[in-house]
Amino acid sequence: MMDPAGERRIRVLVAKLGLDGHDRGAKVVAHVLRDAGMEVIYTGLRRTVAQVVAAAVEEDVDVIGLSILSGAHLALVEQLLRARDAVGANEVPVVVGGTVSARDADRLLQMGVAQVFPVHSPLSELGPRIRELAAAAPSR
Amino acid sequence: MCGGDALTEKLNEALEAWWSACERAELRNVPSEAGGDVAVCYVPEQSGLPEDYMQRIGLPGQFPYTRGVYPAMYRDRMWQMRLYSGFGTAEDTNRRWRFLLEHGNMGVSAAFDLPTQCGIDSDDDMARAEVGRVGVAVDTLRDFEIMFDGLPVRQMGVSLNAHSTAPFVLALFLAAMENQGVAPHDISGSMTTDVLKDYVARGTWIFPPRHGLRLVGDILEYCSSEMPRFYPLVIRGPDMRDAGATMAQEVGFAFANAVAYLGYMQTRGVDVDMFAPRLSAQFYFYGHFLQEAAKARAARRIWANMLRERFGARKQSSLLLRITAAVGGTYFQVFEPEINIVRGTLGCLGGVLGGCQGMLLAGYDEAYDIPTEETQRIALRTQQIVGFESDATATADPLGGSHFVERLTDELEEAILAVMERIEALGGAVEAIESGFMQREITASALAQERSKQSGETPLVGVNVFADNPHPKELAVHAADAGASDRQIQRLARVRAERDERIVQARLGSLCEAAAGDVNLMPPLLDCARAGTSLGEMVSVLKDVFGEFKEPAL
Repeated sequence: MMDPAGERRIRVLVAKLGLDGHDRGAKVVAHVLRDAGMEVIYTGLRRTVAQVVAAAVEEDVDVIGLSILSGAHLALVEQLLRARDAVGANEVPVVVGGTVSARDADRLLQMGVAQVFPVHSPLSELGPRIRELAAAAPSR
Repeated sequence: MCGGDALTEKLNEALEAWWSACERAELRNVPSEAGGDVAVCYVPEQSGLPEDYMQRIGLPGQFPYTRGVYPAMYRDRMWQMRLYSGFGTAEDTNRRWRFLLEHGNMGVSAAFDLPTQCGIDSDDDMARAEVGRVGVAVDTLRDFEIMFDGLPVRQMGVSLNAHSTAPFVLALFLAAMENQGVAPHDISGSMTTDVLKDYVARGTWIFPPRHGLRLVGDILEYCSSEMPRFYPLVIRGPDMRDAGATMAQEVGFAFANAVAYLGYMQTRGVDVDMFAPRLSAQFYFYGHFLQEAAKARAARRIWANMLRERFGARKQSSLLLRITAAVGGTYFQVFEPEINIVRGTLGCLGGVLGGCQGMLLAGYDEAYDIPTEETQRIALRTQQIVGFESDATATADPLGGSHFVERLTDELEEAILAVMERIEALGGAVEAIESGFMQREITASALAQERSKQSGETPLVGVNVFADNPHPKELAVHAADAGASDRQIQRLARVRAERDERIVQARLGSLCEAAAGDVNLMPPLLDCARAGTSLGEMVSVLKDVFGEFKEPAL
């Protein structure tokens, strides 16, 4: 899929891990990124780490976005990063959005998350930032 | 054009009927600041009234109930003041409830953890890190026995916030109450049960919508004969608002779902007057409290007309819509959280001026924490001050006759009906859900609202305007108390070890057979519950028969 500038469209996976059923943020972000010209694949609710990683590989995404609002994020993200690396997709940056405290955001970044977007992150910054992360990743 | 003599006569007759419907002995006295007493209800000067005044507005306690469901409203009884709580284990919940009952709370509202809401057991892989975190964990009847230990169940209202798992939670609850000598007909309270909104906005769905409907029908039939004091279905709007819906979508989609339930019960040949009297609704009441009050008035008018014209209801109690107000949710902010107390007061006013029958008011720490005893006490006191100290309750429908509120009542009614008509045109709520229409409409509203908040067009004090304090409260992550999770898993294991496994398997077999047919599933579910079957085990069997819901594309 090519965008008007003739470049391959950036592909983003927006995923909901765990039992949390709040998808308002994930859906808003998905629409914003689509409006910014990206291909967004939304996993739907209640995905396991294995399912998210499999989807990321199958859909050949440039960025994995995790939407987590249940507070169970640290453990889940850690598992996801390991699973991602295990299938050799360690170059695909992972970003996390949701109700993440500043302290937990630091820990996520230390774990290897590329960026954390707390609730009410400016929508106008999402597209450009995702583009930067996708561009910075080694080409595949 | 004024209504002239015919209208004056109608209004006078209505006033006589209204006055005799008021339980005069129960009415409390309210002295007026202007000398004399505040009237129980005020009516406009009769000359100059529009012709359709009686049909559209009328008097409280009279069709179409725009001005309220009861003639004297809060002059003879206050709304039920409740709080939403329940976390950790059944013991923690039992302790919190004892505290709340001692402090004037009139009933308990049980919140369940995510595994319980999604129909999985505490020892399931997916349940890890979630057991007891956002609510209490329930696996077997044993959890309910502990939760309600020592509580005066017959004297209190019990509200079970169970949605897609309502049939299973109810079965487990009733089995536990049986063991404590409390019969189903002794129990007053309510259960959400509104499964359709789970698909639209809450995400805690399980089976495909048609099967969800069947289970709702089974609950309604069971409760209409066995639980006369219980409200088994609460049509819910708040989840839509949390997901981003506007006021009109909140009521419009909730009522479209209600139409699906009512229509389904018709196809089952159940007389609407058998169960409609025990239906009620829950809506949010946020900062635009005057319009929220107008929304409640519009909702009652729509409901009354719909039940009578479209579904042929004849009983007054079928036509009047009792409303529970919910205040908190996404309205409360993490910046300067103590000012959420003021927001709570505004929402409370909206609910009271809108004539609600019950209210759940969140603690001011709602946006970042599970409520403490302190924040819950303040929330309860807020309701008590509005109810007992202010004059919001001095007269029925005090906003009646306000140019703003009467006009907004009409305009919101129009907007809500337009939403409902869109759903009708698509073939009904189930079709609108399966195609993703409702979900997409709500997401569009959510996007518009987020843009509006970020641009400052929607002012939020302390957040995007008058924001001197840049330090929001950090989300208090109550990591599931690993100890509580272990104890819960142990309790489940113990129940499984002590039960008669052959009986459990036999009961699950009967459940499976019943599910494949069209008999009411409450009796086989009760049999399962009594035998010590777990929630997850019952849901598993039904997943095999019904399948699981597949989300439509974005």
